[in-house]
Amino acid sequence: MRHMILNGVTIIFWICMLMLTFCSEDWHKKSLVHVQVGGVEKQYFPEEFVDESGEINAVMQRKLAISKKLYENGVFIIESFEKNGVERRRARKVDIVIGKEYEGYYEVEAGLSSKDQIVIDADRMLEDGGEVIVDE
Amino acid sequence: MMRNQKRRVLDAAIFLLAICMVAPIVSTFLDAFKNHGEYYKELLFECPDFYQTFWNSTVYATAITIVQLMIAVLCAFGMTQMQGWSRKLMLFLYIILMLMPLQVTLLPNYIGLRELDLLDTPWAIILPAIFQPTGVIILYQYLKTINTSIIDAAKLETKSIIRIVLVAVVPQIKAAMIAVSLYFFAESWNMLEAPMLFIKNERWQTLSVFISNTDKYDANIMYPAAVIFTIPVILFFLRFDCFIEEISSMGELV
Repeated sequence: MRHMILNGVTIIFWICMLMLTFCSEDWHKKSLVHVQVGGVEKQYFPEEFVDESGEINAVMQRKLAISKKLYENGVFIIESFEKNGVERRRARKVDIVIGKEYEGYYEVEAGLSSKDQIVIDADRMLEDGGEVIVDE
Repeated sequence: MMRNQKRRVLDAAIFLLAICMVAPIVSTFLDAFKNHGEYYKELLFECPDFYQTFWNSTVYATAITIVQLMIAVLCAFGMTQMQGWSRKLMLFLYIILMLMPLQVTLLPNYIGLRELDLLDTPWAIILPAIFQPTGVIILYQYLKTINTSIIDAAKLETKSIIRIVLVAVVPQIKAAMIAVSLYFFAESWNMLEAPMLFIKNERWQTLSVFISNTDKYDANIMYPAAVIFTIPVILFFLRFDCFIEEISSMGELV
């Protein structure tokens, strides 16, 4: 009886290890938030200035911008990090300073750079610092 | 009365010593379950290298155990068939080799493997390990006690050494072979120095090296890794401990 139990436990142990070897990575990926990312957009914003004759003029200038919807939902950037020998990505919430609003966009004055990758869509609620899978 | 008291004090001392020895193991088991099993989750689902090293260790330990057992049985049987000074000389050489610390043989092994261009391959771990003398000595001691008339009868039937060993020797030393296999498996499963020195490619690394690598991996996952690391050996021991008791009771295990 004791030997039968031990044989059973041994078989179960090796089967579990085999199953985890092949499935653990997929299970882990399924448990993570899948996100779509994009670069920080640049939009034209009207910029007023006073010319030599003293008249107020407006020109359109391209500046870093973020859509109102993204700003209201919270801005997350994607960071790379290494954990347990694997290169991973996580979403980090950033506080940005916004400027003017124009045609559904806010001008970004600080907090983002043109090189940042920001989350534009996620299949679940994002947590600050949580690991994510970036859908290419 | 005095004798009983002495016995109790001795028992208490042994019990305390046992607690001291078991405490680190118990602590590892308890630490592994800290944080509501998060460390297990991290190890099992977020660390693919763990499985790579686990299966490497499994393959190495299995291969080493099987091949070492085959070689040890043949060597031990060969030694029992030797006569006079040659047997004593062989036994003496085996014992000298057995008593040598691992560190003494590491460098010659390293040089040999480098010359054969086997460093950084699984052979660098398997080959030096399959020619260990301890198993030969244990099996030789056990073989001295078996019934030789069956071997003599087998010799009349065939001249094939392999056949004689399979038919007349192996059935008589099954218990010793299983006990020795357990020893071989535990020894190769736990080995640390050889993989650290002979293997630089992480693809071929063993679980024992994985557990010692806290620079690369999160230190918290080492507790559950250590628990899983001990399971195969414990399971094998519990399954086959009756054979160890059997050969120990004969007083022939060195």
